[in-house]
Amino acid sequence: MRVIGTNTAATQEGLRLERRHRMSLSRKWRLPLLMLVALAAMLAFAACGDEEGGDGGEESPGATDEPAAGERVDGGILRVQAVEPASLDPHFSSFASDIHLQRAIWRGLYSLNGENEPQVSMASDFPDISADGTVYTITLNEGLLWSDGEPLTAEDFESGIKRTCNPLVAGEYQYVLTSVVGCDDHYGAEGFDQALEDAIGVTAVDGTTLEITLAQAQPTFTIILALWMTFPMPTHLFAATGDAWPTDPALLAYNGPYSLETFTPGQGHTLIPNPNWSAPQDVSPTLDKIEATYIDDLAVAANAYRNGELEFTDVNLQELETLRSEFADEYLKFLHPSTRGLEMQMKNEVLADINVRLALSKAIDREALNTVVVQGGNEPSTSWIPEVDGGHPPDAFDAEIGFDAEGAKAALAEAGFVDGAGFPTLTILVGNSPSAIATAEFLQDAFKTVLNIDTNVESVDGATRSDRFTNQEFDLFPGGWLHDYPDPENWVLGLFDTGGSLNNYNCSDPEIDALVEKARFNTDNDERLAQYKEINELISTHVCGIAPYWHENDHWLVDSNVVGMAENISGNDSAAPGDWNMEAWGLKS
Amino acid sequence: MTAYIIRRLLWMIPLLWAVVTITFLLMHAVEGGPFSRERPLPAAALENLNRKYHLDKPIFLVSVDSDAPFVQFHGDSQYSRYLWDLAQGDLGQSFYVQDRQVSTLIKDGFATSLQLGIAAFIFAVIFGLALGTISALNHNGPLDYVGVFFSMVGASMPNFILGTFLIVIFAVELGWFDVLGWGGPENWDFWNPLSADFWKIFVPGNWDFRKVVLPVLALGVLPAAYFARITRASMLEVLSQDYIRTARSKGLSEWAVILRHSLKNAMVPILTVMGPYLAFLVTGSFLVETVFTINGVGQRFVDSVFQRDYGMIMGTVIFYTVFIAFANLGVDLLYAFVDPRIRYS
Repeated sequence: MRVIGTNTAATQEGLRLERRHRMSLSRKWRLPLLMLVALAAMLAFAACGDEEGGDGGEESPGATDEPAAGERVDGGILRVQAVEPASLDPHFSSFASDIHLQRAIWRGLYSLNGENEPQVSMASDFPDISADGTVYTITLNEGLLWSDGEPLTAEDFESGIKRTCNPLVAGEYQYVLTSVVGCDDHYGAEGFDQALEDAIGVTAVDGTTLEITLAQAQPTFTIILALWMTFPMPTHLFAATGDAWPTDPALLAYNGPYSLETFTPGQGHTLIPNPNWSAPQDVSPTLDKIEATYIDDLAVAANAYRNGELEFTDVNLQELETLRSEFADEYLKFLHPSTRGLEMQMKNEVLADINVRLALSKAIDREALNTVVVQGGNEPSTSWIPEVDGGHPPDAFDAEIGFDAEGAKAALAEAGFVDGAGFPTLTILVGNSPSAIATAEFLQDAFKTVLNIDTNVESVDGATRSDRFTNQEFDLFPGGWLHDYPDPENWVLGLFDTGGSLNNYNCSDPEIDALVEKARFNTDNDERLAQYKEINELISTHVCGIAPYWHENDHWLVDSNVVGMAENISGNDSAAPGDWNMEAWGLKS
Repeated sequence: MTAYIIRRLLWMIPLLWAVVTITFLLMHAVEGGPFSRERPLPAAALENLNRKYHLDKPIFLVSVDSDAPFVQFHGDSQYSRYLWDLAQGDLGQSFYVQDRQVSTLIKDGFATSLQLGIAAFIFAVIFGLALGTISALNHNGPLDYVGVFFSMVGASMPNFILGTFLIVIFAVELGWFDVLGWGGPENWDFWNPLSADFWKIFVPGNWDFRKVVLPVLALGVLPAAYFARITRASMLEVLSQDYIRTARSKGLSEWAVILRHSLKNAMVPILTVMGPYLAFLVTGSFLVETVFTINGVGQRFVDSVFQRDYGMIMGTVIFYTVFIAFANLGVDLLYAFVDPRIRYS
């Protein structure tokens, strides 16, 4: 304020006030500035302080002496990225993330080794199978205990299987036990029925002997007995098979190598060694703890791995090249028994024509698709069933259905659409992830370039996409299969037999149907496998509902201090390398 | 005032009913359901699941069909079951996280979101008010330009992008902070001040600040920028008033002029935005929670929509509705406290 006037007392007072005002103007914003400085100091203090939060280094806590190469030290905490399980109940679950955790804390009568072969686990020997292949008698190891010290008995396994067959539990993988007498009958009932449950062909003959009766011989049943839906139920903690499975880890008992210490939905879980683990293969945990953090966004997980907060993570395919070069010694790639391809709705008049399906298949440059969409992260393939599961090598049917632009045009012309003229516009239905949209756009471009046909791309969220698939409301649908167990029957039954429950693309081939009938109950294993190979050839070369384009690789980052993951990597893994044998995980130092 | 408060509380009942009904309708109108999977479930499994969660019942008590009879009345419906359970305070089970109550999931998630939201809010208030006040007091000066610049940048940058930048620079490159998780005390009984666990939030030793700073900055910068801009504008208007000149002329200290006369009178428009922002911050930011892998209610809510987790969707919508209704009521009551001229009858 400027005072204009003579040198009066009032003017002097006004000048004094003005000086005071100006001086205090320079002071009055000091408080807010001081607040900002204080805030900045707090941030700096937080950054520099609190050593227990970790210093971004790479060592795991609990390090002990340096071991000889390849050995594990006792102790240590392994921090891993994981996906949140939807359920702890093995008799209900279908998600890989659920099964990954459940296999760490429970085990069945058998387990699958790194070669996908059954080995004894809680059972003392392989089952004694009756001459007609329908009655399995299994003897448990002596002295088995749950983690809480209670005896693990044949009754626990009987209850586990009956629980999967219970309609109240609504187990999503009950269909795998379809050959067990009475299982389907109870599961299909409108509610729990004690009589139907009692009629299920599973009986604990005594404390260590279990008898299972099948409606018909199933050559793969020993493999089934290694799967999670046959895990035992701790009957001493349940009143009935239909009771809710506790979500509080303290209310459960475990027979696997680890016990579940904590489980926080949305956050993570921790595992500690089970003191009563029977170690059927003489391998026991050495870690003090496994800490799993649920991280869906793999870009976040990659940053956490870089920052030394994780020793293991799945790889974000969008960053594959960067991570491969940044962590060359810690990057793992492994061919997973899964196949992706372009599924085609054969109810559609146009797609019912094999020449159209061949044209579409031959228009797909699988190598280019793999390079463009996933930076070369998968294995291009024209075989539906992966070789590791009894199928063919990836290039087995390249000549018949692999990329061939001229062949594609010829096939389309054979179908009556010379140079694409008159071909209706089909829709490619995909999810809303970047890679799904990229795949669809690649295919759209390929079909236009090679065949001169137009397609629309419709991107929807996962639930909508699944719903449309189940209701068969699609033309073209990038999809596929991931095996439940390592046998070719899992790639065929229900998927490619006419009227199969999962045959939403309506593949109906009399040759395939005839072979399926022969193979599914064939107890001559070599002959059975040869029949499934024939089926695979028919599915692939006839493009019966699907034109395969790649087998998926798993891509992982594993800290160099970790042992037991890379060494046990297998098609049997569900969510992490060697997680079929998590008791072998450990640290070098 | 009491009558006003009671009236506002009573109005929440029809509000809640309208929100529940609209959400129920929209939820069931969207394609897909809670058991729509990448790999379709066998028909028998689907049937058992629908029966378990009562999805085999009609959606409403009355249904309309194109065939005769055109209108059907049902003895039971998903909607009536839900309303009945809700009236008893039961938000039901999650359809995705098996055997978990929605109320438990919301409580656990909200405890984290509340800590993060309040911390971000405190940061935004301190930083925003300070920056806005400095700018106003240094109008058209260098500090004003700096303040306006920071406000503009803060308001323009989406919080998930800011969060990613902060992680790359301060966590990955410099190693000063952590990437994953939230560093506040676990199992915080936020609803029970009589519990010892409630007060542990005030104990610094229960906090891991390496996991707090970056999420708070990522979430708090945007509201701080808005607070700064509004504070600056409001303060400029107040500082130009005659009563401020009078206060100075009377010889009051500058602190008294700023805090008692300027800021307090400038607070009404600031409070107007603070209330909704507080509600926004504490109800969880999905993007910040995803970037920092924080188990908050925001991420859980968005996930539930994609998962078609009907139980969780309804529960979180109801929770948000009630929370925001109370937050707005609180802001209205604060107006009366700040400005004595405002009185409710």
